[in-house]
Amino acid sequence: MTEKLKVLVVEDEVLTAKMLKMDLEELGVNVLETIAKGEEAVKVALQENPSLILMDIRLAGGLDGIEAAERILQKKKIPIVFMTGYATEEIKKRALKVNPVDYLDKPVDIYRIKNILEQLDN
Amino acid sequence: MKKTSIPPPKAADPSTRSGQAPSTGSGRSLRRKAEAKMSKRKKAVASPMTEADTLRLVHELEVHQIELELQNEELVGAQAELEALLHQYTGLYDFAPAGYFTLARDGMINRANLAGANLLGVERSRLVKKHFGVFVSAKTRPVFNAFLGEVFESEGKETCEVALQKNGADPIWVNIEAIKEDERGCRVLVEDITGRKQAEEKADEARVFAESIIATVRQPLLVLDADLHVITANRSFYEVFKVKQEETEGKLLYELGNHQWNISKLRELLENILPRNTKLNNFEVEHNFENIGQKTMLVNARRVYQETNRTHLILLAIEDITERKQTEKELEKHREHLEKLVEERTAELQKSEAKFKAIFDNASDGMLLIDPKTLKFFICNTMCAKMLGHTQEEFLNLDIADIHPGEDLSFIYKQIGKFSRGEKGIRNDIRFKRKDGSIFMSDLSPALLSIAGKKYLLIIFKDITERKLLEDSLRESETRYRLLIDNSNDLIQSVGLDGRFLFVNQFWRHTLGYSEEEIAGLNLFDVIHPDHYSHCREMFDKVLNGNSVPYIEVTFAAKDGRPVYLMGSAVPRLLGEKVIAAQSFFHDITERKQAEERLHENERRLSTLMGNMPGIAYRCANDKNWTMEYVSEGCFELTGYMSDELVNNSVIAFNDIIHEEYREHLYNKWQDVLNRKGTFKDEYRIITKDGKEKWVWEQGCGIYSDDDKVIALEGFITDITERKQTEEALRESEELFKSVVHNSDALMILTDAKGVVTYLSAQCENVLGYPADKFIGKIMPDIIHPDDIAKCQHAWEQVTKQGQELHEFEYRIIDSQQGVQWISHSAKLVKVDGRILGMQNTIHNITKRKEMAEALQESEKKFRTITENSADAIFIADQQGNYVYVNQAASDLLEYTPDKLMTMNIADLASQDETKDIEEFQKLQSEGRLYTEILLKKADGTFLPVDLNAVLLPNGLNYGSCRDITDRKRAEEELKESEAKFRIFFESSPVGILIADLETKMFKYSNPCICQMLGYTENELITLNVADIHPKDALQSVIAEFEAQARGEKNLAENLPCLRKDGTIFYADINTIKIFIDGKSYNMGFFQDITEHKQAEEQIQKNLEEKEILLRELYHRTKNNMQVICAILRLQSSRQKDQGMKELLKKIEIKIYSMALVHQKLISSKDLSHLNLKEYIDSLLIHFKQNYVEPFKNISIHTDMTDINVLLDTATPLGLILDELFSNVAKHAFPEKTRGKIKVNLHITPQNKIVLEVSDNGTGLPKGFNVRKDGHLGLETAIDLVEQQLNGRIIFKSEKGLHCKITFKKGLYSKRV
Repeated sequence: MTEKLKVLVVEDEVLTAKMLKMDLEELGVNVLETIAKGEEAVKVALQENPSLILMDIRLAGGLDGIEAAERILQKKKIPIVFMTGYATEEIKKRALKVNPVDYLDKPVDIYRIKNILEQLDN
Repeated sequence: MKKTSIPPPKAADPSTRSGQAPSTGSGRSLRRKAEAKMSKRKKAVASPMTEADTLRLVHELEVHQIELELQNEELVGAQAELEALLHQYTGLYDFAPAGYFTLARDGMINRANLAGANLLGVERSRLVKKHFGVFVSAKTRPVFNAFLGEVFESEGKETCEVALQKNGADPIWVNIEAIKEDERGCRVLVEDITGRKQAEEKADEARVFAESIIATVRQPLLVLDADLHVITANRSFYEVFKVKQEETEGKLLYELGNHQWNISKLRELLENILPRNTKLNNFEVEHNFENIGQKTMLVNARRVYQETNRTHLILLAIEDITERKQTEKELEKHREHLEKLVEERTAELQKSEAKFKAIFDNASDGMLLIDPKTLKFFICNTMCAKMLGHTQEEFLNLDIADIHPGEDLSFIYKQIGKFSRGEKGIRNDIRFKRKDGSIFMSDLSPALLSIAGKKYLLIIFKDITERKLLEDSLRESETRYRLLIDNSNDLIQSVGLDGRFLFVNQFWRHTLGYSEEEIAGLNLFDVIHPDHYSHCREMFDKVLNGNSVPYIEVTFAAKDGRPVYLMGSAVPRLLGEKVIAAQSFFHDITERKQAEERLHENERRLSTLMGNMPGIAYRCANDKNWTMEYVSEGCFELTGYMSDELVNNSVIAFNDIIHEEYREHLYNKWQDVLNRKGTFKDEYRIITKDGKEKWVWEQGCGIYSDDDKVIALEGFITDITERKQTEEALRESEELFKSVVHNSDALMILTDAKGVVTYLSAQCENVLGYPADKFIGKIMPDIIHPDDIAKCQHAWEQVTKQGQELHEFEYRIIDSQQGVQWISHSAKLVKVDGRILGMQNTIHNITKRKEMAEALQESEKKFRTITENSADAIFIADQQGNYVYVNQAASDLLEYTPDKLMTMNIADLASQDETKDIEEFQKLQSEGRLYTEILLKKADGTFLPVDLNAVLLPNGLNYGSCRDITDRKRAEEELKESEAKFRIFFESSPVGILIADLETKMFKYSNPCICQMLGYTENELITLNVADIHPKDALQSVIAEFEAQARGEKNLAENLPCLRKDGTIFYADINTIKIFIDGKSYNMGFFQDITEHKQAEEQIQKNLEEKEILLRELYHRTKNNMQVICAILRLQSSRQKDQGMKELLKKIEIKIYSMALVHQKLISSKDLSHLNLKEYIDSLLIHFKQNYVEPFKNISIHTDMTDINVLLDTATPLGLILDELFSNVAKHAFPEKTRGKIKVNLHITPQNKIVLEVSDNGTGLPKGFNVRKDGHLGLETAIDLVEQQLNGRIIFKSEKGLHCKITFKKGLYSKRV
């Protein structure tokens, strides 16, 4: 994968975020600083224009990951992969309406993310 | 007997002769005895003997010895003979044909031969010392015992016959002869006489049979012995010859009946004839017996040899033929007499035969005798043969076919057949064929004759050819004359000497109105008018005397009584000289006579009339004045004018006295009449001299000249004023009566004195079913029903003969449609001055009334039956309340007799509440109907509740039917009680109850609970229906539920929204059942308000969901925390330089990850307690691969896993175990980084045990490696987890790699969950 692929990790669990970042970096992926809040995620996404956003659904702040994704996608078509510890059917439905690239249960399969990135790269 | 050879005696032993010791045993024995005896004798000898003495002694001894030897030889020979004889006799004894026994005095058998043993049926050896009596049958044993005693008492031979009983076999009869041997025994001979016995029995039977025959035979029978002594005679002998048995049997035949049988002829038979012949039949013996008179007997004699007695018997069968003989004598006399007669008769017959033969042969008709069977000609007379052109000899060889035309043969044969059977057949105009083929006609006279017992058909025939011709010509002539006579306009008759009509012509019949058949029975004087009898008789006699009467006037009476005047002549009809009839020719002058009479009468009448008639006879001119030329004297009375005042209009013209109204009309009418040459008739008014109006009737006609000009008018005028007035009155009356009659529904019939119908009113067709024209002018035809004719005739007779009136006499008629109608007939004679003018009949058709009456009767009968048999008590009371009818049920109900009830009043049975009863009765009277419950007093004084259904009948009677309602009342009470009970339940039920009509869905009943539920009152609810108590948006489903419940598809509709009155909604479970009230179906719904329940449920659900969410959240947080720990460990590991530490941290991280994964899986599980082990292991494997990258690069993992759901408590340790296993594999299984394979197998056994196998194809365990002892902490932990936590088994097998099998029971922690 080329270094131009940038991944934004939006995860309110800091250590989980760090671990994910570390795993991705081990795979040679450029990971932007992890974001814990939805609003900030929107701002950074629009600003940094990452290749892929790994968005946790439950976030700190006023926006949850789905709402943040909606706002981002209103402005830019950035591929989003939702991550969730557990979600109700309602949340799943909401999330899928945003048309994410993937919807992963945590702990996420890093190789799956790798595949997605490779596809994006191609 | 079996023959046995007797062995020859043995020869004497020669060695014994020489003085040598005998060689035989017996000889030696004898020697020893002799020597012994010798030795005894030797001692007695004292002095010695000289030689000579000795020699002499020796010689003597030798001679003696030889003598002895010789004797011995003889003895031996004798013994041998004796032995032989013994043997022989023993053989004879043993094999004798009879049984020989030697019996002791007590009957014991000492000895028996074979035949005897055979007779007894026992082996000879076993017979000895057996009692003979044992073998004798019980029946004859006493005989044997007595016989045995006699044997020993007697010196001679005794015999008896007994039956021996062999084992199971039929007894055999034996003859026992015994003779005493000594005091101890006897010799017994036993012979089998069974055959003889049977023969004796048969002989006895035969004898008895013969004796029966002899006794039955009617002829006297005698049995004589050879000495002509009577052995026996039958009953018939004793009866016929009047002798007694005791005087007959044993007596010499000739001595019987005081030597009456000493008949020389009989002696001849018995002494001379019979000895030479064994039988003789029909030997006639005549004798005059003293006691029975002269008898002639026919004797059949038989000489019979009796083998048993070796003697002859003579059987005589005697038949008394005395009467027969007498009869024969008489017959003989008669025969002689008959012979004499026959001779005489034969002579006569011969004479007669000659006579008849002469007649036969000389008859002018052909006579022919035919055998009807063979149709052969037997005999024919000369004329027959001559007529047919044959000789007699030729003719007899002919047959039927030769003497008739071929085409007539079948007809001829048929007629012959008929004649042969005595039938009439066709005899006339039979065609015969002559020898030359010509045909002639003949009439036959057949007759059946019997000649010498054989039937013959005699045919007498004559040639009628000439006669036929003559007949034809006569017929032709007769026809001609008949035509003349029949078409004559004169009456032609021929009267026989006895006055009977031999012939009358058609005109005669027509004039007098008789038919040919009637004429055949008529006599001349039947048709002569009585006034002319004597004259006619005189004329008839004259004619019969041969005189003609050229002119006769006579009056005949026609069949209808009408006089017929005749004028003619009469002549005698002669046959030869003899008058055989009187022929008359008459001309009918009846009309002329009548005309003459009429003329005379007219003249007479006219002259009388002229003189006395109350009217005017006139002759006038045909002018406007009607100028009178002649007016009769009656003019004055009619008009007030004298006749001469009218003649020539001297005072007044006739026209002037005619009422002005009629003048023109009369004139015109007259002209019209005159033009037609008709007769004028009219009625008009005139004004008399004194100014009165009179009605007159005029009739006249014109008098014409030769040239048809009207010369004058002649006629008469008569006063009809009274008649007119009467007519008016009559017309009015007739109109009235006509109106009455026509409007009456009765049929009025008037008949004249003869019964001819003169008038029928318009109702004929309605009443009788026939049009009036069927009856008018006729005597009433017979339309009366056959069954009623007799009674009607009787009724008519009473009216017509006795003058009684018939009043509403009912009978049946057959109408024109062949239907039966009932009519009521009233009739009476109409008399005027005692003279019967006719009968007046009034007839009503009462068919409907009858039908109604019958129907009514039927109905009444039916209702009476119903009433009588009704289970309900029926009372009928009059207006005063007195019972006029009660049925049996009423009597039974109140226990009064029907008679008693009939004496009672309603009040007698009334309850104590009289006021109520009176009111009820009054209600019935006023309203006509009453239905109520009352108490009736029974005979025992108790009161019975009944329901009363009463009706006031049109005839004023009160009809009531009562039924005992005691049971019903009781049931009502019970029902009320039950209803009260259920009402309480209904009213106080905590469950809302609504009852809705299935069809209309309208509510019928509701309980307080549902009213409270819905907020409606009961009265409001019964105006509502199902749709009104549910929200509109749920209506469809509610109605669907209702209908499904109505169809019985379901009972419970759950969670239905219900709409209260105030618009609020509550939810209810509605449980329904289908009920029937008064035959109609309803849904009964039980409403359970589930709102609280629902709320509680919702709350619970909500709580449940909340808890679920919390649990998931908990799992999530746990998982997250574990992931955080994993992250920390990862981070820490990434910072470690020490590889060992790195690996350790990694190991820990993996372990924690595997636990976190369990929670991850639980979050997404359905029940938050079980997770799919397969999915878990899959995820775990992915993670292992990700973390043990290097080792797992060349290792392929193959899984074969079943979906098994396990609890967290199972999954967590399994995860740790798997982690350990895989890390071992990663570390140790494939050290050379070779390609490897790991297999993971997960399945569950039928015993509900989970089996998890992890195997690899790596290096396996080192040799001697003990997993439990030598394993590291990880393995140790894994083993502990399996065995202690999972309570399972873990087995390691190191064979071509390492195989680890973990087995544990599923559901170990289920109770905890």
